[in-house]
Amino acid sequence: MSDNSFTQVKSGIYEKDEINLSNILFSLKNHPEIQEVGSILTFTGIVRNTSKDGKLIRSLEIDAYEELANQSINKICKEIREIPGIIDVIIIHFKGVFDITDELVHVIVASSHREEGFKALRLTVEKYKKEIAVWKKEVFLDGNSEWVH
Amino acid sequence: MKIEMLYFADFKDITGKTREFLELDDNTLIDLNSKIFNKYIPIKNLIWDDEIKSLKRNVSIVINDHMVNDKNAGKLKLKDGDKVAFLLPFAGG
Repeated sequence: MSDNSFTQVKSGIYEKDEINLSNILFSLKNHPEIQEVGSILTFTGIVRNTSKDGKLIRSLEIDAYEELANQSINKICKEIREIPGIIDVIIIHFKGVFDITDELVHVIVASSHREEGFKALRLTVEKYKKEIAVWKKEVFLDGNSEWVH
Repeated sequence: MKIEMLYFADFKDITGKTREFLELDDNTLIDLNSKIFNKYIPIKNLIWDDEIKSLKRNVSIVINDHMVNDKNAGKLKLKDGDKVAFLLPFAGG
């Protein structure tokens, strides 16, 4: 496979539905080091129908400070790629207005073996939750809404 | 001196805007706070701690896409054209 044909899906903030998991996996299968990969793990965060305290949710809004969020996403990806055995990691976080079950985020980790992949996936998820400049507003069934902090 | 304020999440809902330019008389964060708090009282309630006379601990300041670690309101200086945002804790999806 020629490296010239490889167009990497870039980690970052995207508009809702701008890209899907199949696009990302397709991109990854064309990675120049794909033959060293034995495991591709994915995490997809979707909209649940309840808030943390059990209130019923109608929809969710995600706002992002894109420049800052993209800086943090790139920093996280760089850190994760430095872990031995990790070939690549991609973080895609969407912004916009979402219905229940809509996809909000994808994290994809390609590794030589599954063990380091599982650890790196968990670490990546924990990091993006805390470190990227993204906020979510829960819109409840009763019409009220609040930003989660 | 003119600075550009960026508004996200709660700030966007309060102001009804994602950004606006504000004219400052002085190049301090104190002057900026004063302008914003006079214009949008709910923002003062959201980020200002009256007991300690400072921004609440969970508020971050970003200037020109870089987090400011020392948010001592009295010392922070702004420049004409700076892009400023107040941020509350993040919550990814």
